[in-house]
Formats: sequence, structure tokens, C-alpha cells
Amino acid sequence: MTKTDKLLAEPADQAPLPGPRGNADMTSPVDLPPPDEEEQHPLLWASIVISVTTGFLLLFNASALRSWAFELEPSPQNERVVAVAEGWYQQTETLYLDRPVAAMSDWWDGIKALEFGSGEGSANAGGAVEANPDPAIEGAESPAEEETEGPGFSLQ
Amino acid sequence: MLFPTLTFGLFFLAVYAVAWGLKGSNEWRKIFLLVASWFFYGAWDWRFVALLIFSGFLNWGAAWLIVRFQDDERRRKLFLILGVIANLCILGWFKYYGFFMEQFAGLLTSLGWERDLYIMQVVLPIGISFFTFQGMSYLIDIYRRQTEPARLLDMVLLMSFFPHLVAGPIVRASHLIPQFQRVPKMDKGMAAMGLLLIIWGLFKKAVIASYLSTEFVDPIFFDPAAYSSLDLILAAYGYAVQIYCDFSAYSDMAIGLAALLGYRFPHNFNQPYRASSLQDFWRRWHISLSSWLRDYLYISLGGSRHGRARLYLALMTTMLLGGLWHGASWNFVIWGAIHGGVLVAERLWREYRPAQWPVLPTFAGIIITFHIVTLAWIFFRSATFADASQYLAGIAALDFSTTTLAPLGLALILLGTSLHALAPDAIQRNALWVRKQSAVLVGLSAGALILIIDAMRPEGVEPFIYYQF
Repeated sequence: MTKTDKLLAEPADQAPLPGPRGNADMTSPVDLPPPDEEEQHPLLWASIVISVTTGFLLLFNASALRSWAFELEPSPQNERVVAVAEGWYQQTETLYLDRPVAAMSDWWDGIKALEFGSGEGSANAGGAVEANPDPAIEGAESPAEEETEGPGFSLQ
Repeated sequence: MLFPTLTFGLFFLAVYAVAWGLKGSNEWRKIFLLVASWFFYGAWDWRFVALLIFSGFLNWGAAWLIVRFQDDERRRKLFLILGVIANLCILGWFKYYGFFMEQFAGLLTSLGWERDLYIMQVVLPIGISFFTFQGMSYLIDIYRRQTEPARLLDMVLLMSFFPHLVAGPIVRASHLIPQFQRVPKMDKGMAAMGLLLIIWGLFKKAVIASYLSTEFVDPIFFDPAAYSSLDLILAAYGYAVQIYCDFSAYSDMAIGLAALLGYRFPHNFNQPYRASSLQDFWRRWHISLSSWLRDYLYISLGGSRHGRARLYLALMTTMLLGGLWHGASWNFVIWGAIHGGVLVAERLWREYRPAQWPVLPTFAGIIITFHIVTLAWIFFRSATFADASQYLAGIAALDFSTTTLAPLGLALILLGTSLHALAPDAIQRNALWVRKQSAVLVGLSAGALILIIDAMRPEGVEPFIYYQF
């Protein structure tokens, strides 16, 4: 028995600190049982999945691309990126491809605005929460802000 | 460059395409992955890429010397000690210099020797705790003859590989170096698991952790005196869910990204709040760190080989240092002390419990363990010891009159907790189904899921909690 073997001789189930013992545990969450049949072109399969996902998001989430482009450091090159992203967003907007994500965002904002014991918040569920269209108007508060403020749920 | 951002998404697409395009030459593939990893790290701060490279060279060089003098036990030990000290010096300088200087200044003041010490503000390189621990584990494994010496390229890539670079898992040389030695092979199961882990991690981070952090937990921990006991208790539960969803999300995405590049990373989380004892908790939480602490610290301190008193001392020391690993703060030490103290108490209870006393039911053990862990999280999350004390005093005030928690917050806390009731292999079962489907269908489904998550996430992305460690 080597010195290291002696060091690691404590039974794993009795060790106060757990873990793979002496580098023996090589399992990974990505280990799956082998398939019944031999797989045809797994790399091609994965690449198609990634390409289709990317294409889907390019079509239906162009607003994310536009927001990302707007946050780039201003430079002549990045201006072109912004112009392309903006142009692409407008194209998808014309085809109403931006509507699914916008509808889901509105629905989610409605859920976020809900409060315990408040009927007002629940009235906003389903997309009724809208930001103040012109934040520059002094004193104008958005309905969402008005309704999310306050002490919250009271048990008294 | 944070994982759940478009910038990282574009970076990864490019890396994926080029890395698999280079599958004809493993050397060029590794060189490309190394440069991409440095680019990833440099996006945060280019200056520290040099530190990362230096650290890789240092550990490779020290390991080379240990191997070179393999018949000379004294020299082998000397080079191991020098290598470990060099790693600890790097970690100590960047992470603990300010803390220890402040403590030293406080000590001088208390002794009546008040001095204006020059305390520099040292910038903490992201992920330094992870890559220095990785380097040390390589050296110790080489010394213990548990792993084969790595080539320089493999060693530097091991420490720099971007999926695990900034927040783990702490992947050991014996896990990854053999994978680097040949062009990896991808199978559909690996790709399906990779995709599912990335999407699942994205959901946990962008939806659950981000909402709980920004809308509920952060404001309460910032000013606990302004909230009721009910809010404080709910925020403690909220933080328990947030840190799990945040950190396990990073690990899931890291494992998923590595899988899409053909590499297998080890488990790092296994439904930790299902643990029925603290010992069980550490088998499920941050597994790569707990196993590191066990193999390189607890065992080196003597483990259970020198009697009970020494075992308890080794255990307590390991957990205190494990706490300090998270950062230079007394709160992390207290967090480690709570875990170490309860681990010792559990051990004592197992040994001295009267035989006629009934064994605690598993569900009671789960509830008790979860609450001990949550109590420790209060110290972990609070900025100072005074804040944590104020937080606990606020809970003790027993004011249950109001709460600021919204229904969504409550639902997400319950969801984050109930994830632990799922079958442990739920994602693997889904992956078995996914790998049988057509690529187009899987791609469309993945796109739709990411779209839904994107619609639910708040504006901007909070950094992962473990980035600061």
C-alpha cells in the first residue's frame, strides 16, 4: 500500500467531507447510456440544431440583437452593425415576427405587477401594464410604478 | 463576458464552428481553444491574461521539476511546497492582502500603536480562486503520482479553458488532460445534454435568480432594519433559492458548453436542499470544491487517521479555510464555522447517540439541514458581521405583520425549492428523448424555449454570485 493509498484509506461513507476519492470519480452529467443503434453524423445533427436555434432567434428575437447593437461602443464599424441590426429588426417587425416575444413580455410584466391582496395589480395581468409613453413629461408616473409601490401584503 | 448574453452567444457560435472545423488537427484545435479562452478572459480585463498564463507556466514548471527528481523524495517535496506556496502567494496577494492589512492595522490600534498603514486597493482577478486551486491540485496529484505529467499546452489550456475558467467546476487534470490528448468525439446524447443544461441553466439564472435578487433579496439584505421579520425570513429562503439557481446555473451552462465542444466536465450539484444531513449536503453542493477540500486539505491535515480530536480539528480547519476561500471576510469564516461545527456535531451525534433513541426521520433531517444551511447563508450574504447580526435581530423581533414579497417572488421561491423534488436524472431522461428527434425539431424547440426565457428575464444581466470568488 503506497503512502497515498494510506492517505485515502478512510471509507468514503464515513468521511465527513465527501467527494470523488482520489480522482476515481470520472462521471459527468452528460454521460448517457449508449444508443440502441449507431448514430448517423452526430456532429452534423448538433450543428443543425444550433443553426436552426440561431435562425429561429434571429427571426423572432431581433429586438435583442438591436438592443445588443445599441450597447456597442460607438465607432464607425459599430455604426454599421447598429444600422444592420436596426434594419433587420424593422424587417421582422413588418412581418409581425416581433409580436410573440412582445406578447410574452407583456404577459410576464403583468404577472410581475401582481400583489397579494390587491385587485389593482391583478387587473394588469395579461398585458395591461404599459410604461409612460413620454417619460419626459414632468410628474407623469407610469401606471405600473403607481401600482407596484406601496407596503405590499398586510396580514393585519 | 457573461454566459447569458448575446455577446457570449456570438462568441460561442464562432468557437463552436472553428473548433469543430479544426478537428483534423488536435494541436491546432487546442491552440485555438486556448486563444479563445484568453480572449474570453481578456474581455473582462486584458491585464490578467498574463497572470493566467504565468499561473499555467508556474504549475507546469513545478510539476516538471517534481517529475524530473522522481527518485529524490526531498527535492520532490521541496518543489511541491514551493509550487503550492507560489500559488498561495498569488491568491493571497490578490484576495487577502487588503483584509489582512486591515486586521493588522486594527490589531496595532488595539495595542496602542496606531499607524497609517499604506493599504493598496488590489483588483481581484475573476476566477482566481478556481484556477489557483486547479493548479495546486495538479501539483499535488503529480506529487502523489495520481496523474500523468501534462504537456505545457495541455496544462495551460486546462487552467484557461473558458467554460470553467471563472466559476468552476474545479476540473482536475486527471479528468480533462486525457480528454485533451485526442480530438473529442461528440454523440447526440452529449449534444442533447449540453443543450438542455444550457437552456435549464439559462432559466434558473435569468428568470429565478435574477428576479429574486433584484426584486426581493438585495433590497432586504441592503437594509434589513427597514423590513419585517416575515420579510427577513422570506428573503433568507429567497437567497437560499437564488444562490442555488445562480451557481448551479453557471455549472450547468459550463458543463453544457464544454459538452458541445466535446468535453465532459464532472458533476457539481445534485439537488443540495434534498440533503438530510450537512455531510449529505456537502455531497451535493459544489461537489468539485468539497471533493477538493477533502482530497487536498482534510486528508493532508490528518483526516481520521490520528484519533477523534485530530479528526474534529481537521474538519473544522477545512471548513474554516473553505469559508475563507470564498473571500476575505469574517462572515465567510463564520459561514465555514457553522458548517464545520454542525459537521462535527453530526459526527459526535452518530458516535454517541444512545442506541435506544429513535433515528430522526429523513424528512425531518432535510428540513433541519435546509434551515441550518439557510441560517449560514445569512452570514454568507450579509456585507458585514454587523449587518448579519442586525438581520438575525430583526428575525427575532417576531414582527409578522407585513411583507413586500410579490406573488411571483413566492412562486419562484417555491419553484426553486420544489426543483429538489424532481427525479435526480430528470434532465438525462429528457435528453434520451431529445437525441431521438430530428435536428430541425430540436432546434425549433430550443429556439422557442430561449425566446420564452428571454421574454421573462429582466433588463440586463447580473453577474453570477461566484464571479466574485
